[in-house]
Amino acid sequence: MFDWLEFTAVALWVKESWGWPLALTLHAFGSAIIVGFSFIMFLRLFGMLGTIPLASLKDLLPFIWVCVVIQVLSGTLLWLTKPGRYLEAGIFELKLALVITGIVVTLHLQRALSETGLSAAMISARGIRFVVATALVWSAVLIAGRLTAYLGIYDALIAR
Amino acid sequence: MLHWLEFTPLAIWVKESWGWPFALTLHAFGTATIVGFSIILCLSALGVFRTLGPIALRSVIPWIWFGVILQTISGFLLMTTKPARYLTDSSFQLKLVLIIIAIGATLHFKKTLNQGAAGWPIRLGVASPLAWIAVLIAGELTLGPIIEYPFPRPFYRLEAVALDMVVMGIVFALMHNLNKKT
Repeated sequence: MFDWLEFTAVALWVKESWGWPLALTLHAFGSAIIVGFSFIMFLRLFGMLGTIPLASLKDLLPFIWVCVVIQVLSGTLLWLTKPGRYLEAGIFELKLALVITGIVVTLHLQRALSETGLSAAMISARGIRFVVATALVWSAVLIAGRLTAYLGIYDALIAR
Repeated sequence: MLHWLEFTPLAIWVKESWGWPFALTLHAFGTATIVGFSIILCLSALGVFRTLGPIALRSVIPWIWFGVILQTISGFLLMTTKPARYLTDSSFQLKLVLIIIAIGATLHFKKTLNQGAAGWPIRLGVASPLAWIAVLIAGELTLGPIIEYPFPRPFYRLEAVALDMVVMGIVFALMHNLNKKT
């Protein structure tokens, strides 16, 4: 159903030119920021990284959102090369579901942290409820994504 | 010369069992930690965060070292599957050189932060995250040509993911205790 996408000009550029390395490195970069920044918030709210002021944590969230946009764009480019194969893989759908969950929990985290005039104690009490889910879901997206990346293996398994 | 490594029990475990997905996801976590944490340092050194200066962020540097250890171990496991192929790949050689540069740049940045410097010396610290980003890019480009697997490999196994979680949990617990002591 999506196979016609594979032969659009954009898909051919990704497949046969420097679109692939560009999108791939961008995608790796974006996942490093999303997962890295959510780990920092997680660690800080659990009492580590004590030198970071709690009130600064909400300043990290805009960078996560910028990277979510980068990930959607670069991920779409990568997906265009084998649209049907990705969707057949099963784990790719799991990844998409996890991405949506990740966006929802990060929105909740943002709402919890960005109210004005919160004391440090309130930030940590409110943040801790959502930061666990945020860090875990983005980690799960990372794992599912790594496992999606080597789709060739499915063919090998089927051929066996 | 390195072909014997390819047939050690360890390499065969990585190649044919869940060693591969285990090491691969661990390597992705390590990348996220090193690159994510050093980008935050970079942004604060450039004054992007209003309330968060690089001096306040100096406590993330020990985590970067933890990431480096994690990466060395998981990267070595991945490399054992095709040692000769990796070591002769120019992107991989570039990656190794960049890792050494990045470690040097991070050490230097740490020294600058500990001296409580401000202004230009701090902004030069941007070299450290840039070097790690270069490592990331070289790593992604290494992947392409090498990862065409002729052999079937179990791919996502629950035990691999579970072991990842246990390893990350141990790392977090260790760091938590270290933090309390200092």
